[in-house]
Amino acid sequence: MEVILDRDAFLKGLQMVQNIVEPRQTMPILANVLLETEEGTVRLSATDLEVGARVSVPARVVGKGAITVAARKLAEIVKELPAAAVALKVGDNASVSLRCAGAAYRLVGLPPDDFPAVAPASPGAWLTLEAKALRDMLGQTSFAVSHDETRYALNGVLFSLQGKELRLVATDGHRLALASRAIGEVGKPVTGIVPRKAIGEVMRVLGAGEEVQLALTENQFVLQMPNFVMTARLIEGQFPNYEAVVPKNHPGRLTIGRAALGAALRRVSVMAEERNKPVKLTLAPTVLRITASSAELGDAEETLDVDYGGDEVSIGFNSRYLLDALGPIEHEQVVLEFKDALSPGVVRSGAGDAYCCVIMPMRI
Amino acid sequence: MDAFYAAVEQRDRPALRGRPVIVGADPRGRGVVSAASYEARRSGVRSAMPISRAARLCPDAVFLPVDMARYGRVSDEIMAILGDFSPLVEPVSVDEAFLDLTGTAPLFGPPVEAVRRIKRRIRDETGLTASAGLATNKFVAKVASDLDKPDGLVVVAPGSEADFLAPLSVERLWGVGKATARLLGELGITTIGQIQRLSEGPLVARLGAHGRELKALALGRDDRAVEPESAPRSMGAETTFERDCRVRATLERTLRGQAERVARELRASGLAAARVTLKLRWADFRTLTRSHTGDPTQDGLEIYRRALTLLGRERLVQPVRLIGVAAGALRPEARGQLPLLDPAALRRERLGRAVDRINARFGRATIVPATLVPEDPAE
Repeated sequence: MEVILDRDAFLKGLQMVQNIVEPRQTMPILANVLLETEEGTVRLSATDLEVGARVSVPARVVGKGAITVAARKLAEIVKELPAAAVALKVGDNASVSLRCAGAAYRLVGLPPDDFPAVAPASPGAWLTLEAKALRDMLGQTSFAVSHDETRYALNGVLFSLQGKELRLVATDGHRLALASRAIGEVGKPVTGIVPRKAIGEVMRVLGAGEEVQLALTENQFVLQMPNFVMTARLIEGQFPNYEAVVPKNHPGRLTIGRAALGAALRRVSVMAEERNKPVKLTLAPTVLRITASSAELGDAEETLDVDYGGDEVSIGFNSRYLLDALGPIEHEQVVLEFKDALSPGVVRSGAGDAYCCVIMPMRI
Repeated sequence: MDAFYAAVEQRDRPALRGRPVIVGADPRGRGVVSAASYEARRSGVRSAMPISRAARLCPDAVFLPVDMARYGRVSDEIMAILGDFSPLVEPVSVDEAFLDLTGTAPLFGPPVEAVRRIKRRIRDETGLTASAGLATNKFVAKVASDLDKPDGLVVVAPGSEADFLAPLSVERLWGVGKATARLLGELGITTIGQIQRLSEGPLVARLGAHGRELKALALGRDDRAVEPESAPRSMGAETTFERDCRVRATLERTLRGQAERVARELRASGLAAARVTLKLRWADFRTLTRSHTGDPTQDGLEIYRRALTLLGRERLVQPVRLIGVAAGALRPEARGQLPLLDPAALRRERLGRAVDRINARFGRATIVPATLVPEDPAE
């Protein structure tokens, strides 16, 4: 195998796949990236057996073939190379020579035969979406994914396609975030829990302009962009019945400026106890009071004028959860819905119901 | 206290006085010795020894089950006496406590006089003997209290701590168990004096940061304060099976009962636990612990679920000798994050309290989870 690549294109390709490679591996070959020649391109593949990615980089193919080399080392080298042509040639015993301008490397490779294939299933139907739309929806949900490994069904984002709607849902058992978007008719409803790592990688590689194609099969999530494909094994397990968790008809409702609420929460939570950053929201006619106190530090209070005329109610929340919920809202106004100190509160965008975050209170 | 459980039994049953008494599990079973009277100790019986071995060593002994409620009441009396001598009393266990006598001289005379008075009052009021160690810090005092049992009093004069410790075995040091003792043995170190003469370098190289602590302890330096009424760090329940068990259903059922007991204890103490720890001891005595940290709970079902998840991840490579569950990372109840996905949790919380009140009034097992009701053989 012998190929000549443009350094910048090569680096961009490597960066799209190298994060898949786990730093610690049970199989040595999984630390490597697979390079295969095709007509006018080199295909780079990386996998950890759960998540895999493949990208095609334009190249002049002098001799056909395939090889695997240490992914992180290769990316590190190419990152330091000058913007020039990179010549890569496989010699005897899977040794790889790499030359660029005056720099020359010899890399110890591994034969490609044992490399687990990155094999996208061939789904019946693709869903086409703007990259920005998908990135927004992931931004509206991924923060709520659980890190508790014992609750593996929560370690990912639920993708649900039904009717004319795509829904993304994530929950860690304390809060639940839901993003929905109208799409064309999808036919048969499908759902799948996409693991956290794949979500992070998708958000990293999604560009601004292009369109992406998604598909869910029995056990796989597939994402396609021009010259790029990512696969992820779906998390097996039962995702909670999220529709039952989103409260309907809460008696209390309040519209408030997003920036003002966020700033007040940040100011007050400085004095909240370190671990869960609890703050108390007390609503009374025309005023929202946010307070925090800590036995060691002292306390803080801030009041905001609000258009509220209902009963007085006081609810404790983890302020980090409230700020996370406000984070993906772009609209200037946010809507808060609530009932009492033991019932979940809801944060929505003033722009509509496409996004909501349900947060369970804390007892303070 | 000296042979505390056994001493309480001998006090309350005069027929047992002068006879070897062993308090612990059923001698035909596989539990351990909780306490042995001094008569039994002469036959080589020690606490924590397998009870079957104790039965072989001392076949004439009177074997009694542990009556924790009774020992607890006696313990309360003793702790109350200690409380008359200093506000700073730190109970270590049911029969052991640290007492800070700093500044009590105007009331009770020199500390050694105060200790004599304490011992006398314990003997007069409870009929039991205690051994005491008097020193400038907790570690040296504890070592001193162990040296002259029963009914002993060992005083270590200020400044003589290192000389006092020097001839003693390294195993007297806190944090030196079998493994560390073996490591030190490989360096030719068996006495505390040898550690005193050793520079920190090789100790730290061999034992890490722990080496530095050992060196300080060996020199008799310990600046930990006597902390009164320290909140419990964990609560747990353990069961040694009559016969090693490899039936998951039995393990699960045992855990279910243990989780209820731990939850009841948490509720009674007004605490909730963030950490649940599962303990398994295999037939060959190797012990495994697995923990999970989550939202604070005092709910038996939730503690059981978490322990079950931990158990589910373990392969039963061997039969299980002992299983246990412990609740740690304790904090005051009714605070903290509520669960979103378990809407019944708040109702179970109220249920747990109601069941506690009913069981307190009508007896411990009046209401138990259905899984713990013994199967009726008639059906």
